[in-house]
Amino acid sequence: MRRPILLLLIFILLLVTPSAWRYFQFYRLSQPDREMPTAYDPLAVQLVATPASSDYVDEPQVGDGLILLDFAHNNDFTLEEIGSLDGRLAQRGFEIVPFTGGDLQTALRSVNAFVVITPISSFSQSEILAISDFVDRGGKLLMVGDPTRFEVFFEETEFSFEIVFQRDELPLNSIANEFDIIFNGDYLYNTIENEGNFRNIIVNEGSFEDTAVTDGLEQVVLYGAHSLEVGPSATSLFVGDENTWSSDTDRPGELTLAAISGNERVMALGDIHFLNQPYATVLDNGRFISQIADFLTNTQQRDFVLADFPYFFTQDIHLIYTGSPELGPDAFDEIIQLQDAFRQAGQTLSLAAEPTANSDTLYLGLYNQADAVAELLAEADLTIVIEPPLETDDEAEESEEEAESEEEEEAEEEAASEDDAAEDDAEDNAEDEEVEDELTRLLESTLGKVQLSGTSLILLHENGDDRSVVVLAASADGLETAVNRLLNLIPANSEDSLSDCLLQSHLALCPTGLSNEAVEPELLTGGTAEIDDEETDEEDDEEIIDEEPPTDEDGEEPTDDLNAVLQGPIGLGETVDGALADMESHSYLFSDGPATIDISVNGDSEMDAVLEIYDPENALIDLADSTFTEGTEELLNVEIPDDGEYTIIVRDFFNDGGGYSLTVTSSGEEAVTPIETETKVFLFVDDDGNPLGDGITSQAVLEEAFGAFETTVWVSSTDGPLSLDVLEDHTFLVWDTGDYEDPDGFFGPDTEVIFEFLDEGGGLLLTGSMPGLFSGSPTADLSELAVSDTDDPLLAGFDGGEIFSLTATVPATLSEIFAEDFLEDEGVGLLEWPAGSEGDGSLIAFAGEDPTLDQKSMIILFPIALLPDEPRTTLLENAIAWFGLN
Amino acid sequence: MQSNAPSEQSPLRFLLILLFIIAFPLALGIFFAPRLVPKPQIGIVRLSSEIAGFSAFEINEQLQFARENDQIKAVVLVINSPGGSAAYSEELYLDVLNTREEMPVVATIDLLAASGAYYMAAAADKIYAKPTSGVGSVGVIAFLPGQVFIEEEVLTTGPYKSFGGTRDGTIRQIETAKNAFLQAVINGRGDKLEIPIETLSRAEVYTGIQALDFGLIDGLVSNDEAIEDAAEMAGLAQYDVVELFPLVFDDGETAVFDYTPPEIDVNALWTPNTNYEPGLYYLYLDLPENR
Repeated sequence: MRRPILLLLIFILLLVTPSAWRYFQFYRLSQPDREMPTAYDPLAVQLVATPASSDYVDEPQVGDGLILLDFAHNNDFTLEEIGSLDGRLAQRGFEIVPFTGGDLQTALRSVNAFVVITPISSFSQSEILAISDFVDRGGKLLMVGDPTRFEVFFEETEFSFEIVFQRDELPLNSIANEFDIIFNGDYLYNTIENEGNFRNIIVNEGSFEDTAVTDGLEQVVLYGAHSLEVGPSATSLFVGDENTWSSDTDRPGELTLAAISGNERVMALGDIHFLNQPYATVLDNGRFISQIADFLTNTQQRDFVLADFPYFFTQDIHLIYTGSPELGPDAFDEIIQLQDAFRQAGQTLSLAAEPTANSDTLYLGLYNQADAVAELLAEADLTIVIEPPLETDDEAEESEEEAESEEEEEAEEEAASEDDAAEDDAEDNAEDEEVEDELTRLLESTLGKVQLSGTSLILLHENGDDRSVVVLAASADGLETAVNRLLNLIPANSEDSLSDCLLQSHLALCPTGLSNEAVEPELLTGGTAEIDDEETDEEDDEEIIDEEPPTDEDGEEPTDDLNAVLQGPIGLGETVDGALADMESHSYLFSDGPATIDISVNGDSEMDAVLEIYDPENALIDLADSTFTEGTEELLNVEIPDDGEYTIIVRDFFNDGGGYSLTVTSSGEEAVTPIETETKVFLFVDDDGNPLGDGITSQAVLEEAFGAFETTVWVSSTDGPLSLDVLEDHTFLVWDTGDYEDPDGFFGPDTEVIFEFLDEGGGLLLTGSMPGLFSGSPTADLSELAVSDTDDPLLAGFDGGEIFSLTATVPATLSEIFAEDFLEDEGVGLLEWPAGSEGDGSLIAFAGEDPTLDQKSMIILFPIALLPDEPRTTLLENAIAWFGLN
Repeated sequence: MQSNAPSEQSPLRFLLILLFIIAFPLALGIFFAPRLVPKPQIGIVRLSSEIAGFSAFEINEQLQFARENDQIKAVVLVINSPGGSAAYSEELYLDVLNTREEMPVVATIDLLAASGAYYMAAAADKIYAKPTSGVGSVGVIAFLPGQVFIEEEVLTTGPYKSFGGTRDGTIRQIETAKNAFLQAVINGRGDKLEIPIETLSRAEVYTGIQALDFGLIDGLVSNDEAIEDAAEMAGLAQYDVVELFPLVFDDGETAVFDYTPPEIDVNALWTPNTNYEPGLYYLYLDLPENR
């Protein structure tokens, strides 16, 4: 039995051996221990929950104001994202207004605070200055950056393109650096203690600076924040803990997340998200946002300047006219217009007789009636000098009465002390005579002395919370232009209408743009108001016609009142030019009858002229109104039966005013078309340079010589530098430099303007020792001069070689080269340095014409006032004729 | 009648007996030995793209094949991936854990095992890389849902039925997912982890050298050495290395010998599609603006 078993064993062994062989071939005898994996345990994973809100309850103090929110710099946020802040501002009575572009300085006038959030585009230098100025004057500024806000641009290079990031930190820093705050371009993170994410930084108690904005805060969270750097004048509001890192440095540190300027007017925040829900309610974020709203709305200390008009008014505004003006409907229109404009700004304006406490005041008036604001002017170091005094009609009557009584008293006193007072009287009389001789109409201010004529004054006066604005001008029209300036300032996005004024923080002296503006004694506003003849101003050469209405024999109802401003008489064959103001009619008196006449009026392009003629009883005889605009209205064959005083009325159908030309001719005669090219002379007295002699000008003699023309006088020492605007509409320029040398010389701004004027074909008469054109030329003392030997009409009445002595020796320019150039261009020499003098025969006066520009110039290189009367008058008359001014 | 002569056994009979007793069982043994003791195999599973539904399915199938195939004694994961969908990454992580219970699993990183790819690798017995392989990015990226609203004609039974959740809730979910990822790394690496967990949560991509220093990997070796290590852990002296993908998905034999792994799309690896639906991703996103 053993054998089969053995065989079986061998069989099996042999059967298994190959497999065993393979096994031991493939597998190692020992196998290393292998650690089994830890089972996945979901319960071990830490869940992250939303933190609770604090139990803070906002208790806002309700005020009123505006917060300007920047949207003009590609700001990368939406209003919804600052919904919580917006809501809290609204609870405090403040409204957010967007700034979408335009002049930031103007937009900042009306607001309490400016909020800049994640701007991507840069601020201009002027905007930075405007913001800085706004903060300096008490405005609040909130800057909010956020590292999640940027724009990516692909900038093409020669062979490829570069990816360019535009982030918010550079635009923010252009503002923030002004206040010692810097936004870093990083983001902060904390991987150990955070609010749900590494970039959500929890700021814990102990990290807050003790300020009003951080009062009561224990924990706030910012959700992705820039870090900030603060300079010596700024303070960190709170910093991250030691585990808060900056992505810029990948290092921890006391990293600032919010900062405030030293004057606590500027706040910078590195994150926008905490202003939005649901983060606005996490921990103490709600309280923080409320206190930011308090920061923005607490602007009681703001300083205002005049340019902030009318937004510095915080109370009811009283409109007070200074003096006792006669206010016609024009004034009412003006008041209504002002009220509308103020209403747009959310303010209330009402007419008042006197200022009251706890109200703001707007004073309007004339310089001559500024007694009501004398204290305010005195506080501002402003003095109005009107010598001799201008009297209103009432004052004139009182003066006459006083003068009579004084004369009586003086007569008695003189009798009593004739001898003792003889010397004093003589002195007084001399002074009086001087005063009477010298007409002074000046405003003395810290900005210098300026002529009242052509200048309006706008003054801001502050007395605690009561603010007053004083607006004064020389005339009613000047006052209107000044008021219009203020009206233009009222829209929040208006342009700066004080840009052409001499401007200080509380004072503006502005040009009225009215040539030869009269300094009026009292404010009279036009319109349909009935004003007694007695109240009209005789000095103004204007009268309101108000005659008793007789009955017309033809049955026409006589008018009660022609309501037209009398312009004077008009005779047969005469043409007069006039300009109608708004709501104005002009009347002319015709008394050349009996005659049959044709009357025509030619209005300018915007005017729908209406022509009327009334008999001496103010009954309408005829009227013409056939066209709508721009055309001639004619009344033909009008029978004037007697030599009575007939009235011709010219008005604009739409009462918008405009220029016109009125002609009266005998019927059958052809009306002479008025010459359109009326000469307007501009006398530029250039006396703001360095005097080479005694500091004289030829203003007086030139004003006299050109007195027959409508002349604008511009004195550079008081009126400022010349501009093309003021030269506009003038055809002839008289440039009087006296014995002054312009330090800016040939390249001075005045010279530049004059060249532009000449390029447009304007004529020029230049007289002076050293005009800017010749600045730097050699000079010599001139005491005599010789007449050139030529037959030119300019020397009509002179003999060639005739010698004249000047009334005084004066330095004069030796300009041989310039004169020769002039002569080469077909110019003509007029006056010469006498033989043997330093100039020895070279020209001292010459004239010429530029045929290309059709422009004539006459140059006299000494003050013409020093020429004796007779030759001076002759020379100037010849010049006027040569220039074709007659 | 009895016979005492031993010569009664004929040579033929002896030969037959010898044939039956020796040759037959030996031949039979030789015949059945390869079937009874097949040559062990180490399965190669390659993750060469972003982890998404299809790529995760492919990996799952291969791991399942390895588990069900007795001949496969170990699995080597060759990883070139920036990660991908959080859920699919977790699926792979769990599947590797499951496989690891049955056989050694070794992960070897060529270019990049970031985020979800490292998540998966963390379940392996060992992780190897090259000195400059990219390793890490332990974190979550998510695209927040939009603003919520209600519509006139669409009625839902909850405020977030149409949206899935709140934006803030998504932030919490991201953080929770991050914690889960970190927990997986802690579980997988155990005491070998040398990097503080808060540092690891910065989600940096480290080089292989750094990763070794931080204990995120076990060594800097070639893929062959990684395979040898897998074989050693499996107790194998001789073995075949087989690509599991063609075994699972191709027709069989030719693939076994002729299979060439697909070329790695490096651009796709480092600049993956960024047009993602809202959701969580264990994904390293090298966005253009990050460069």
